[in-house]
Amino acid sequence: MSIAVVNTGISNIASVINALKYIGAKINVTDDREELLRADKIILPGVGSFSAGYNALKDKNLVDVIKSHAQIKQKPILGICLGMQLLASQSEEGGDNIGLDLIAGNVERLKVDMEGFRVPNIGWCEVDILKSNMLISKDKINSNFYHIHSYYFNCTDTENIIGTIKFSGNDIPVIIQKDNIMGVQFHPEKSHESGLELLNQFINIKGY
Amino acid sequence: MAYPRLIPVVLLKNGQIVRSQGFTTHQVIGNPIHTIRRLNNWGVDELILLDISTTDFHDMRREDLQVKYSETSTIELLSMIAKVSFMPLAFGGRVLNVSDIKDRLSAGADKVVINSEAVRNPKIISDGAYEFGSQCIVVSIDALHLENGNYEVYIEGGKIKTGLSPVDWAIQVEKLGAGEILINSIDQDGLGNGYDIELINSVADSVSIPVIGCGGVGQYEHFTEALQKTSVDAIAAANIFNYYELSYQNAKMKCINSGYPMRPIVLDSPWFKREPEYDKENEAKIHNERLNRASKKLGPKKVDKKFEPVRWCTKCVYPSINAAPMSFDEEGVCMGCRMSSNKVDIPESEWDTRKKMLIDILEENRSKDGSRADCIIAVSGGKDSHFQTHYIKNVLGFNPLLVTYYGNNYSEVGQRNLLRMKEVFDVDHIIYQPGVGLLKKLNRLGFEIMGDMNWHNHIGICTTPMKLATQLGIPIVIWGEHGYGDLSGQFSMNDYIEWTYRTRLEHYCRGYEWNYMLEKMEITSQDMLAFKYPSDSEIFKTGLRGIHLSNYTKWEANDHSQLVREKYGFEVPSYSFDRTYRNMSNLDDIHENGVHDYMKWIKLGYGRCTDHATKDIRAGIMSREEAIKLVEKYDHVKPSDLTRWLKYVDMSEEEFDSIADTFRDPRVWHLENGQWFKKPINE
Repeated sequence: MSIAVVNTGISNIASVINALKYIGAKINVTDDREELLRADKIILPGVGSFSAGYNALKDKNLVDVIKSHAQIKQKPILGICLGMQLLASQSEEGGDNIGLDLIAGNVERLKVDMEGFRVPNIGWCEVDILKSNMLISKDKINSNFYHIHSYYFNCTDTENIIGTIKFSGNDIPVIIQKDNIMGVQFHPEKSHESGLELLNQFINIKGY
Repeated sequence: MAYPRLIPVVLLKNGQIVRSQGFTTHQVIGNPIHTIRRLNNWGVDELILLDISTTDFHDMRREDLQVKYSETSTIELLSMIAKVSFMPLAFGGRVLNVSDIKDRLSAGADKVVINSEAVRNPKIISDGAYEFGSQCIVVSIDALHLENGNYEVYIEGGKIKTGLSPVDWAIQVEKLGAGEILINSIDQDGLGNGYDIELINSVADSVSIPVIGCGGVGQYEHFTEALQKTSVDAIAAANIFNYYELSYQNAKMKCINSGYPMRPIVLDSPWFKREPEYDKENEAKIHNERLNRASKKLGPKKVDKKFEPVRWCTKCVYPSINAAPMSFDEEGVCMGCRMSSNKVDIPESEWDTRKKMLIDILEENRSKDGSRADCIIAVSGGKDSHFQTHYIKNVLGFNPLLVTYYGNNYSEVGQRNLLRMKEVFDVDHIIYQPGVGLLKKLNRLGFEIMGDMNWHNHIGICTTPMKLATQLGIPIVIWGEHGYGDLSGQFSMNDYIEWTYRTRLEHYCRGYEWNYMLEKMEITSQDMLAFKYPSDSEIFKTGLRGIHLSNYTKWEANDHSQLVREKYGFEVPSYSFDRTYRNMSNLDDIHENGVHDYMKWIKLGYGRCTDHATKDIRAGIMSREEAIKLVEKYDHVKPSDLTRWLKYVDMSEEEFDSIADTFRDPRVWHLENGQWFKKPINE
């Protein structure tokens, strides 16, 4: 089983690597097309602005490899934070930008219309698990994850929403999935035991 | 909505974790890895590390510690820390430009904290935010409450005034692109009186980015107060999390039970074992290499990096390369001396208050139905044990259970004293005696692996009373004085420091937990039962606290000795020790003052006489000149109990010497014509 962690070079992925190594995952940190082509699973981490993230994938000529991994080969892919947002059709961050368009949706800025909410949304939020999937069970007792984001993934198809958090009166999707394509808005690598459990679920997905 | 975050702040100075007071006093608590691992075990919401080092070089190498600390720079240390941190990690200190931000992020920090440089060069905020995103730029603001009631921002660790008001500065840093603000009160730092609510509110109400309040926490109630009276997103504190067992969980439960929901607490996470998981293969390699060097009589490994030579405190006789973590102030005085003068300064009325505090703790935990003892006293049978039992039973009127770990090395006098306690105090006494075959193995292994045959004793003494406490449902264990606090001044008397797993593992066990010995000399998990510490869940459920009596009553060993001799027939030996002029200590273990202490001389170039002379200088009953004479007379003596020990573990003196030599600290010792030499004090 080969798991590739995409290294676009624009963000610090030391924490993701530390966490995956800690749970015993054999990973290959790479920005090489060939290596991504061979991967059984891809993890797409990322912090920073949407356009910087997408452009880095474009510049390294990785867009079609990732799309074919997810759509043609239908192998598991997990987007983390910006990596999840990049799965969207487009983003309004810094003007209109197109994304990988692997899960239909638009990345929009968090709206505050209630007292007590600040953007960026920083901290531990309890995630309401709407339905169980390959990453997390509906019956999970501790579903707290560390979030740090100013934008969120507005899913076109609510079928793809697995988990949400409450923010300023709205339910914000933070775990999404369309078949083999998965994304989490929070940082599992920084979410202590609940995060490691989720990453461990991903690396143990079988049948692809 | 995100829960309010509860954030421990860890201060690093020259590689070590320090406690801070008023931004000026910094006492060394210990090396970072054990503390960071423990905070990770506790599942803290986030961690802020602030490096207040004065230089970019540190040297924490010690042959006898399990964690080797080969790194010598802050960034290298950060990489090491990041590997054991599975929570958000903010790192600050000496960030001067965008490349410094990048280095810290690459080494594993998730956020970078900027303080002084943000004031000197505000562009670093916008440049950093542009390059790495606002989410990883935290601006830290240190504010002083002025006499006119206003606040002013200070930089350079509270030394330089800026003329800025914290509110104006906060508004400006938000505009520049900071993602979070850490607001700290200089006045409240280290005092334990609670947060400066007015300061925190003024900043939190003037910006829309998250604000972390910091400075002044002394008790769990202060967290609740901040949640109640401010609108901050996170509350931070430093000292309190260093000094109390499960302090993080207890602080959170206090908030949750007061109606402020927080992320749930973590106890005994299956993902993060409290006991270190050792790289068995690598550890076996280190052990074999040492035995190999010893068989070839090669002595210690050479130091290949630069180092600072040993120096001595100008008041006592302690060297900088020390078994206890040391730090010196600008006048060259060690923190132990500084703290000991603080202790002398405590007035009698304050001791009355402290006595009342102790009675409150004991009364709250007294057995209500006679189903258990009121508390446990960890006793060795020595003068301090007698004093503790005297004080708790006969002065305060509680019914203690005495618990002893019996390491099979008692002196005849020590043994008589131990067995007499049940008689003169009329109390129950459990003496836990591990099998001697196991003890012999542990003596040998301790010596070969860490140069300490008494490792079993240290871990056993630290474990047995706590373990029995959870098994018997007794919530209080009473210890005597906190050795390191007394020796090296690790904390203030106002910290009311308590017993923690972290101190046990780091300082008493040198990082070697019971499971380290598994499979060596065919030792099994079952063999090591005596040394297995109760789990965090058990400690939490029992509400177990280990308190130090020295925080609540004046602690003067010489006075205790006289009292217990007169009142309880405590015996001191008629003979004198080989390695020190005092004869009333460590009667529970003939090797503690003997060959165990001789190993300290071999490793670090000083011994028990230095310890005792230092105590007597601080107590004001010995001059430094007299002390130096005694140190020169005793510290180097090869003790006579070595003969017994060699026979006990079946080792030749030649083998002993050659293994011992591998532990010599090359910063202390040098070889001349086949002989080991060290610099005398003050040369």
